[in-house]
Amino acid sequence: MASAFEAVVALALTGSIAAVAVANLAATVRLGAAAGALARDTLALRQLEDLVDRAGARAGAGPSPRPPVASATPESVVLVADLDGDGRVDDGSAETTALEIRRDRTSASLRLRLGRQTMTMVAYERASLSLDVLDRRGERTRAEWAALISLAIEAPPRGSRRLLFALPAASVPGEPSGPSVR
Amino acid sequence: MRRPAEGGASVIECAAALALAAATFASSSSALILGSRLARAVEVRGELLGAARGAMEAELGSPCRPVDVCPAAYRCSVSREGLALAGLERVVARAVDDATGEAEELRTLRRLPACGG
Repeated sequence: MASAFEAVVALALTGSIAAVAVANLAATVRLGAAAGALARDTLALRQLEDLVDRAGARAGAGPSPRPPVASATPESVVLVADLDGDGRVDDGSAETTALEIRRDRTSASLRLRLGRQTMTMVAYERASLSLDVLDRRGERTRAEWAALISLAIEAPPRGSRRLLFALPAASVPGEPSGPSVR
Repeated sequence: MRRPAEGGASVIECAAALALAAATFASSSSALILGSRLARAVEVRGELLGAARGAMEAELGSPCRPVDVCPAAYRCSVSREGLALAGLERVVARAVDDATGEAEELRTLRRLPACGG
C-alpha cells in the first residue's frame, strides 16, 4: 500500500516538474521568437531610414532645378536626381529611387526600388501601409511641393506608427506657398 | 521489509532531487524574466529613438508648422538655437518616455528656414 502511495506521489511530482519544464520551454520559444521579430523589425526600419535619407539627400540634384519628388501616390513616391548632369533622369539607374507599397489579401510590404533593383524593406501580416507627401507647413500636397514624406504603418499588435523622411530644404522649390491638397 | 536506513536515504534523495529541480527551474525562470525585460528595454529604446527621429524629421521637413508625430506615452520637443555662423541654427529633438523617464536626443545643424509671415 505504501509503495502504491509512493508511486502516485512520484508520478504527481514528475508530472508537475514536466509541466513546469514544458511551460518554461514554451516561454523560451515565445521569447526567442519575439526577440527575433523585434531585431528584424528594428534593423529593417533603420535600414529603410538610412536608404531613404540617402536618396532624399541627393534628390533634386543636377545642373537644372528639379523637384526632388517626381510623383507621389498613396502607393508610391518616386525620388529623382540628375546625377550625371545630362539633363534627364534615368529610370534604370540610381537617379531614380522609389518607395512602393504592395498589398495582397493577408499582408502589406514596403519595397525600395533603386533603378532596376527592388528590395522588400518591411512586410507585415494583416497590416495597412500608406505613403503621403507634405509641404513645409506640414499639409498634404502635390509631388512638386513635397518637403516631407510620410509612411503610415498600421500593423497589429504594435499599433500605428508613422515614419517621416525630410527632404533637404535646398532641393525643395519655393517657399511654402504651394497648393495644399486636402 | 524496508529497513529504516533505506527509507531515510530515499527521503533525502527525493528531497535533493526536488531541490535540484526547483533550483533549475528557478534559474531558468529568472533567465526568462531577464530576457523578456531586456527585449522590452530594447523595444522601448527603439521606440524612443523613433520618436526623437520623427520629431527631428518633422521639424526639418516642415519647419513652418511641424507635424505632430509623437507617439502616445512619449513627450517630444524640438528646440532651435541660432548660431553666430551665417544663417545656421542648431536643432535639438528630444523624446521622453513618460513611464520610465528615459530620454533620447538628436541634434543637427540646418540653414535658418524662411517661412514668411
